[in-house]
Amino acid sequence: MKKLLLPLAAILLLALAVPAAFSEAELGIGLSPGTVANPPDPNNVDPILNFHVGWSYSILYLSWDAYAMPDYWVYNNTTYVDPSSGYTVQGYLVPGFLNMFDIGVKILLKPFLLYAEAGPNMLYLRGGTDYGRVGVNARFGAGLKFGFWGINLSGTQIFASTDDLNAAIHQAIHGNWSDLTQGMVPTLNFVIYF
Amino acid sequence: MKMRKLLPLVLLAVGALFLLSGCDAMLDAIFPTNQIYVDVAINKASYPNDWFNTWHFGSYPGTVTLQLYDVKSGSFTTATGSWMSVDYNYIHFAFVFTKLNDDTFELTANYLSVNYGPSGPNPIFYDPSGIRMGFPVSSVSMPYKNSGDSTGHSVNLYMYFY
Repeated sequence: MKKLLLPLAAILLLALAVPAAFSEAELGIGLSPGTVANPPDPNNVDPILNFHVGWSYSILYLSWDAYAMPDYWVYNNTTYVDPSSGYTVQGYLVPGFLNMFDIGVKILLKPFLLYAEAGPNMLYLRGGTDYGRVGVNARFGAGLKFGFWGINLSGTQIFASTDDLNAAIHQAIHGNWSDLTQGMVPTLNFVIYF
Repeated sequence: MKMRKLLPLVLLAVGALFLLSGCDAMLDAIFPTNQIYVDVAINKASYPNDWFNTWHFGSYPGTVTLQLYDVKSGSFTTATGSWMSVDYNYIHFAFVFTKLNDDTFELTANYLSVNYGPSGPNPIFYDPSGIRMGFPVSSVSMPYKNSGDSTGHSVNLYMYFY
């Protein structure tokens, strides 16, 4: 939990430190199709729920998103082949929160909204365990803002490491967007602005 | 601008939300993991014609209806099943209820025999350790600590129509 509290504390301090007129906080909730988590029974799956907290200053955008991931997703993403032994190390079959801490830009051309951000993510497992490995994610979003509320659609790509993210961006610069967009998790977000 | 006056409240909410994200109770609420398996067994001695047809001909049109009542929410889940297997003493009907919250559930069973008409409700219930459950209404609180499963989130119940 301490690892998770530090980024939040930084966001909160920044929010308090700058004049309110130049900053904007936001709270939201989002839904993603459950099929993106590769469920064992695609015909019987619930959507993935996520909680969103964000703060922006001019075009600077900081956010934290916690995706409630089902046990089979956690299992698939924590199972790996040990390179030294060649054996498969079984993952955790428990649900968890995939916490994403991102920094990027948000551009508001009322009522249209565009944003792009990237940052690390950490997996919290039910039972009080923080999965040791830190991943990276990139997110693009677009939507509409009406006064104090808004709706937007985002796509989040999750990478195992910063090297994977850099490689995907490098490929995209050279015209191959597949690494950056393939397997992207779409999310419909409802946001309240303060 | 009025919304900005709510900023301290928002920050508090953010903090609470953040703490909750690490809270197992929240994950349990989003992903209810309890499941109840029920093996309903029809006794050969009491229903000999039913057992005979099933054992010798492999077909039997009788059904068991099992009702699960969630005491907390007041909701009912009803399942009707056909026979699953037969052994030398019983015809078995298998049921499974998944994605259940931490709550108390009452089970009521009815057996409809083509040869003998409706029976029940309420056969005799046993938990995995052989403890007889309540009568006439059998209730089980999840997680059930005497389930044989270390987490208590999965319980196998046995019901007998004698």
